[in-house]
Amino acid sequence: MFKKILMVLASSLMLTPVANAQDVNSSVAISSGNLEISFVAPTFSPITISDTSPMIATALNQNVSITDYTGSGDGWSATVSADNFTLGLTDPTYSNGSITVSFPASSLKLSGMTASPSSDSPPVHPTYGPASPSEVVLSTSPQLLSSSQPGFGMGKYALNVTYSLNVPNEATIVGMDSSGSLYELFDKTGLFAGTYRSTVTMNLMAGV
Amino acid sequence: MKKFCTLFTLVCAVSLTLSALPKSYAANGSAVATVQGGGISVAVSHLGMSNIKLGVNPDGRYTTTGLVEFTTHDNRGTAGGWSVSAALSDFSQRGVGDPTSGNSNISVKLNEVYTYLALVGGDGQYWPGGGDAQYYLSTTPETISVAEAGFGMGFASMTALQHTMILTSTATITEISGSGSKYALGDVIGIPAGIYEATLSTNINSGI
Repeated sequence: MFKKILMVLASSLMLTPVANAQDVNSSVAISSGNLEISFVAPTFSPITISDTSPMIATALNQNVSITDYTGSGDGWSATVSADNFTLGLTDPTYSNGSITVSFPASSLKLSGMTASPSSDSPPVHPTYGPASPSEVVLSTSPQLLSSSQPGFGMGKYALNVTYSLNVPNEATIVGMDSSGSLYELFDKTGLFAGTYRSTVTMNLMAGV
Repeated sequence: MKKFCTLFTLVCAVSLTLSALPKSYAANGSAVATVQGGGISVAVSHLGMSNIKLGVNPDGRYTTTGLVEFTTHDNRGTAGGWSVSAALSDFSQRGVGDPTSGNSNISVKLNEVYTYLALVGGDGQYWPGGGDAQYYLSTTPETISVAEAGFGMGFASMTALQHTMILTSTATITEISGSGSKYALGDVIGIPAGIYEATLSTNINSGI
């Protein structure tokens, strides 16, 4: 048996031509990267209370960065929502108490959204995106900020956003911590001076 | 046992693959709006008074009425409350031809004039005593409207009926110019016909 194998091997070596090329399979594994959104929340120019309503505050244009390095080509959609703007202060009708006043998130509007790809990302497709509505009036419910159809938007994009805030001349009492106040919850008041804050949330989801 | 291990490995592999595909990403930030306090002011506009015809009333008493509109603007944003006071000068007429001399003029003021304001419209919550209250005006300022701390923010409008009663047909000479007059300062004379004017002054003060 051993002898037979040696003979076959020897025969095989004699018949094989001299090799001068070789095919080698090379493979690389590409794994999914980040699906990520980031932004800088706006700080508005101060406004002074006047008889004008609404009083308009502006913020420098800011970029929202959207990254789809998942490599899935699923497309994506980005949403934005905001809490109502709130301010805490001493109750003017009861000095031992404090109140929280608020004006609605809908006072904040985003507009002028245009997406620009980074240098190593695919261009924006005029039909399949990334694309955005012309303006977004914020609310506590998520609103569509931008989306990209499956097969597009794979890369990194900067979304230029203009923020504008239409401050109403009235506020609503949304919190109070004492019973000595002359106010009641949800009373309407004039606009109080102070620094109002709202948490803006942006969410990026795979798929559309 | 071998079959179980194979199956377990497959399940782990699938799980790892799924978890490696990011499906959503959220970011948030705080939008900041600074609201600064403005000013506080009161304005008054007089909508005219009806004419008085001398001699119509046999008892020498005359009445006339007109509408006065007050507007307050509290844009301080503090809800500190305010009070509005009003004063009325004497009704007087200047440059009246002196009937006792062709070379002089006199100024006169009406005697025994009583004027009060009565609310007829606007936002009555700021008027002490409500809509039935009457405020007699004199040269000494009197409080006619109050906003308690916590209220009266922004713009408020109040309309009042100015009711003026002239209880006598006499006037007092307050000024003599020129020469040859038979009058002396302080003389009481019959009411010269003409247009008599008084100044309604208002002031708004912080707090109450």
